[in-house]
Amino acid sequence: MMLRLAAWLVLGLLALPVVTIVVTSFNATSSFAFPPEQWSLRWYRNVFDTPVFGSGLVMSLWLAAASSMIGLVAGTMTALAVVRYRFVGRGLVLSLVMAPLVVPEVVIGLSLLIWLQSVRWLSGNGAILLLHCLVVLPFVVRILVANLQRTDVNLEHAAMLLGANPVQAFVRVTLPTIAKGLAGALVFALVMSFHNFTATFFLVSTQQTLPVAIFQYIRTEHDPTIAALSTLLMVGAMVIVWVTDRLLGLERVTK
Amino acid sequence: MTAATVMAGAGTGTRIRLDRISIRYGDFTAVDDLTLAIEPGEILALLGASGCGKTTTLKAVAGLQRIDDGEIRFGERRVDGLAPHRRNVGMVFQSYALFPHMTVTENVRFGLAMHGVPRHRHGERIRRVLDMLHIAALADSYPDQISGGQQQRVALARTLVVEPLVLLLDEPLSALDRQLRDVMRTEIRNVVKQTGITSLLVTHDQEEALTVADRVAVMRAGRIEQVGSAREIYEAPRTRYVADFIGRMNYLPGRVLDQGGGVCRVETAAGVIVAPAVPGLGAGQPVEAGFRPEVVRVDDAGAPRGDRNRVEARLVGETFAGVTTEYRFRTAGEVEIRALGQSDARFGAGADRRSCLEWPVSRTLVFAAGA
Repeated sequence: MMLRLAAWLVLGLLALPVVTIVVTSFNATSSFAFPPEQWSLRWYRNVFDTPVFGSGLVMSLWLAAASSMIGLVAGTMTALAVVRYRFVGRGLVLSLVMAPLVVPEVVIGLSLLIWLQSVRWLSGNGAILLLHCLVVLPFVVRILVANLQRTDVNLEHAAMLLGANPVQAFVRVTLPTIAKGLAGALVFALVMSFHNFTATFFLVSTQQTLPVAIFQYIRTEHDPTIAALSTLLMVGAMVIVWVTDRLLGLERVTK
Repeated sequence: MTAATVMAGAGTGTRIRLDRISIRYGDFTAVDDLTLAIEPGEILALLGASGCGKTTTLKAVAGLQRIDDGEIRFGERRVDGLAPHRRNVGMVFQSYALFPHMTVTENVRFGLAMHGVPRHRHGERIRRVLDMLHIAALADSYPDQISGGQQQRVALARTLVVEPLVLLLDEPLSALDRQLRDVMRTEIRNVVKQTGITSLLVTHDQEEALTVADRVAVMRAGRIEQVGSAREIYEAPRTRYVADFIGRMNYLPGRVLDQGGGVCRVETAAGVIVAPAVPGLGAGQPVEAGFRPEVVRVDDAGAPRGDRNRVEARLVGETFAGVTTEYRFRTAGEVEIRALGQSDARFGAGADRRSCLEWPVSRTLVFAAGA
């Protein structure tokens, strides 16, 4: 009985921020009063009337897509090298790739900012993309290393002995066997990039990402627009999770 | 449906030759100047303890392992520089390595597609090979839905459907339970023999080597200790290592008394033991006289005969193992002798009773000590 009560309490605590934000977003006044006295959709309208959110969303989506794809390719190659081959400096490569996991994001952001001033050809958006790749890479590598370690190397060997060249063996056997890992890594990478604020904040110039735009907005304005925006983002995230689950759940991929 | 019609394109087997190959990892020599020929259509077993280099040798034939010295030839063609996918070698892995995201049919089809066999011919060839291995009913199953024995058959089907020049079997039965192993041993031998593909089997299981292969090569520390038919290896092992690896053996330590007249006489604590002469042994040399437990008989009444060795021993214990029972005796000098008898025929009598043990001179071997 006590256990059940505690469970509900924890669940309630987890849901509380979400519920609060959703309810507040429908407030008719600019106060954060909870629960609201009057209801309206005016803050949702305001979200769409604030151009910086639209451009921020586009920027964030573009960044997430680009950095995830780059991270996925680079991460897969790194994971393959580390798991399948023994070479000098293998441990070093792995620790360097994993470093962004433990180095504070402030440090990464600041360090890239310093570099940006001396390396001229690295433009603002290029630097942010590079940063996001760095942020995304360790997650991709970690997931894929675990995945590759669980797959039998002999699968590739078997494919080659059946006449597949190394590229065919990789595409037709290795990739499908790590498909779930790749999908998981991709979703993780998209989220990590889309969320990133701390490190990105150092490098933002003219073109803001959505988290930075939100931060800038609440520095000056005090109204539930951000609550409305957050609600929209949550709905979007839920749709994406549902769709991925349906797609990956239906498709037969290996455990 | 016979395998011969399935494998119509395989033709006669290919001779495999390993000529003085060496494989080194840093300071460690995994395969040491090894020479071996496998005749067309023959099944040869590489038998040895783990770490003896047998799997490394197999991988070298497959192209999954580079060699540092020597040559590998299939027929007249030198293959050691070729990538695995250009060698036309079939391999059944210990883990089977079935593609988990493909059905049984898709697994078998893979090799046909990679070899560029026209698609309209796939169905017929897949059906034949699945029939041959009695797995037609599993065509649409995924590997994780079928049993270990069935996976083994699929692995074999996937390999044979492309009609490889050479078949490699890496501990093919080690993942199966005992009863299934007995069935698959016969099955593998029959299927491979029907296709006529030259095969190399790697195993640490002596029984598997003796029953599946035509010839057995015992490996030790990267070298081949002895090659021969199962019977030759078992009855006439050239070294103690081979004798111990295949079956069990009793040893009576002693010294050579003399050699001559086709026999070698050895002085031991239990008496003089006679064996067929061994070239290269001189009088006084420390040796061990060996004989298998199953050739030993208890014969208290019989008189000494020239063609049999005879020692006195007392029974110290017995172990019942179903069909057979192992009896342990001690001779003068406290050397243990094991004798294997049918369980229903009472062998020795009570413990500590003195008995006369005897066995044929022709089944006695002499090994130089330390060999």
